[in-house]
This record gives sequence, structure tokens and C-alpha cells, in this order.
Amino acid sequence: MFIKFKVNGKDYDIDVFPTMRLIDLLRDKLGLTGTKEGCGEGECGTCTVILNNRAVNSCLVLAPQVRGKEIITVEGLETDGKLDPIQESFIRNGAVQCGYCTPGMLMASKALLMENVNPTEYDIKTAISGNLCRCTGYNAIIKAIKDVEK
Amino acid sequence: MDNIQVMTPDSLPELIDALKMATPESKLIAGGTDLMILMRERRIKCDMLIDLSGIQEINYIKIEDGHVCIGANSTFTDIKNHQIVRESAPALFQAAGTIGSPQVRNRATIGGNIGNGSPAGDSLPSLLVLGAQILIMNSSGDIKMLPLEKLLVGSGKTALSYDEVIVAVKFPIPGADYRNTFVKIGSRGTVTIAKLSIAIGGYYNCEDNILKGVKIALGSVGKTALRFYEMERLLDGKSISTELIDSFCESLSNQIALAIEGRSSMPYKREAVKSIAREALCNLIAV
Repeated sequence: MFIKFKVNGKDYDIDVFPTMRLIDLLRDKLGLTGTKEGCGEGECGTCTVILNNRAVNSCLVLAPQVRGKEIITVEGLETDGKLDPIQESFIRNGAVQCGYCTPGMLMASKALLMENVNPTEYDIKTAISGNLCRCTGYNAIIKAIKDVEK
Repeated sequence: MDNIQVMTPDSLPELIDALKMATPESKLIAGGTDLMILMRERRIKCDMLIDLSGIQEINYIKIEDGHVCIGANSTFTDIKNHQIVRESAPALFQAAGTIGSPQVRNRATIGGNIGNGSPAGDSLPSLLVLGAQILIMNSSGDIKMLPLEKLLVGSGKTALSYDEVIVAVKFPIPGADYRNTFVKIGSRGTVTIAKLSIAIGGYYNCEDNILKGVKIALGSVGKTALRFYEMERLLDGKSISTELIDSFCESLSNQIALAIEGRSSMPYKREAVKSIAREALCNLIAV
């Protein structure tokens, strides 16, 4: 079925398999492989993207459900080759080790900062409570989110 | 997930048309946070999916005729962020905040949580103590109302026919004196299915220190979330004291032991329920 939607500011009007998941639409159809699949069950948050300004697990969204909507993936964070302040902060604060949780963490953080430019530590921990990291122990990630230049 | 037809109604009239085409194997999908997993694991047979997510007419939270009315498509983020819910129905506000993660709450809907009929459904104990009625529409566009207790008929089962859809939940606005609270315990702090949950509601004022009109509901101790009427009678009209709370928690523990006798989780749950019941009661009567 044909659906119209926007990804990272670009319009699409494409034919999708009706029961395709958003994560597969992004990775396999659009070649945007920055979004990762960890569990496929909405528990690890690795597949987090921003859908109409809200962080969602793209493994749980059916492709037809994004009709008329706007999606931001990790690829959409940079503008004209310049990294988003959240990405700069992750690098600066050593919040990336293996990097597999990173796209999901970035998108969950970005969604938080889009709504709240001055989050408390509690707000940050809540915002990333749906994102698992097996490497960093989370502290560097929390520090990175606090340290984002406004 | 092959050979499944997907219908995408964007209005209630279009939904009625889609429901006319439903069969006993058709499924409704809104947030998809339960269904997508079941489908991917091929744990259910499905010939048609009706996607409810585009229907704005069932996405609202409002007060009408002395009732809090929540459209079935309201997400738990919307529910927990809404002033009406925060102020008048803390039990539902608290429950909404324990569901999954922010990503899940941004998608999961109250209609889905009810329709999924899980014994561990997080909104269900709170909705039971708030006296929730569920509005259900069929493929002729007729709407009927059913108390939540009558809708939950078994583990993962509701009384919905295959051509029916939940369109809204409503409950009387709890008055200022009707306190209500919810506590959940799981194996993790977040992104966890409830191992046990409890909601307690009752009229209470500090001067006479008596709880009246008590309602108690638990999740994850039976095939559905359920009210514990005998436990309600233990507390109703009594002056709240440490001794009463202790004896209540002990009696509730015995009830749980009977309710899930033979289950491997029973030794854990009969102890854990004492803690969450105590916490809920203390929250309820706190100034």
C-alpha cells in the first residue's frame, strides 16, 4: 500500500508491505541503517526514533501507521555536516563505547530536549529508562545529556 | 505476518465500514505495543488488521456530565500528562506512569490496555476502583456501555465480539474526598510487567480517620484484574490504625495465597502483597 510520510525533512510516497514494521521500512527500504534492532520487542530502545515529536520504538510501529507523519532518525540529527549538540556532548563525555545503543539513546535524549531544554537528572533518567546500555553503566550518558550546549 | 490485510480507517464512519468486514480472526491495532510482538512471534492467527491509530475522534480526555471521559486512542503519555487525570484520578495517573518506558507510553493506548485483557494490565486495577465503564461500538455504529468488570472475562480475553471496538472509558469524577492510589511491583523498576499491582480507593478525611466506600483491586493474582470485596469489607467504616493495617495486610496475604494456590509465584506474591498493600494504604491516608 502507498503511504506518504516525511523522514528527516524529506517527503516520501512509497509502496510498503502492509505489515512491515517501521524499523524495516527505515533500514531496508530507505537504507537508513542508523536505527538498530536489539530485541524487536520494545524493551531495549535501540530502535528508538522520533515520530511526530515523540520517541517511539520503531520495532513496534506498523509502516502504514506513519502515514501523514514526520519521523526523525539518528541520521537526521546532523545538519549540513554539523553534528547536533547532543551528538557532540556524547562524544565529549565518553558516552559511546560499543555504540550499539547510541542511536536509540540519542533519539530518546533528543526527544526529551525538544520538550524540555533544562531537564533535571530525574527527567533524564526517565527519558532514557526505555534504553538499555550494556557498556557504559549509564553515568556518562546522563552526564552527556546534562552537558548539552543550549 | 504474511497475507494479512491492513485497513486504515481515519474516521469513525470508516471504522464502522472496516468492522463490517471483520472476521473472528481479525485484530484491532492502535499502539501495537502488545500486538506487534504477538504477531512477530506468530503467536496469533490474523487475517485482517484494523489500524485505529488514525482515528482522532477517539483521542481525547475531557469532563462531561460529571464523568472523566477518555477516548480509547489516548496514549498513556497523554493520560499521565493530563491535569484532569493528575488531579482527580491519581490511581490512574500513577498506573499510567508505570507502563513500559516513555517510548511505549507514547504509543500504548488505554483502549489497547483494556482490550488486551492481560491479568497484569497496568491501568485495570485503577480503572476498577474508579468505577470505570467502557463504551463499545459495533459494526452497525451502535454504542453500548459495560462495566469494566463485565468486559474482562479471562486471561487475555474480553467480552468483545470480533466486530466490536472500545471507543472510550469513563468514570465518575472522584470527589475531593475520594482518594485513590496505585502501586505496582515488577522484576525491574521500569519496562516491566507487573508481578503484582494494587489500587485502593475510598472516602477519607483526616478528622475522623475513617475510610468509607472502600474499593480494592489487584492485578496479576488471577485470570483478570479483580476487586477483592471481602477485603473491602475489612476496611470499610473502620478507623485506620497500625493494627488495622497490619491485620488487613495479613488477611490479604491469605486471600492471595488461596487465589493462586499451586502457582509457583504464590510464596513470593503472598509476601510481596503485604508490602504493596501497606504502601498503598499509607499513600491513601497521607495528608
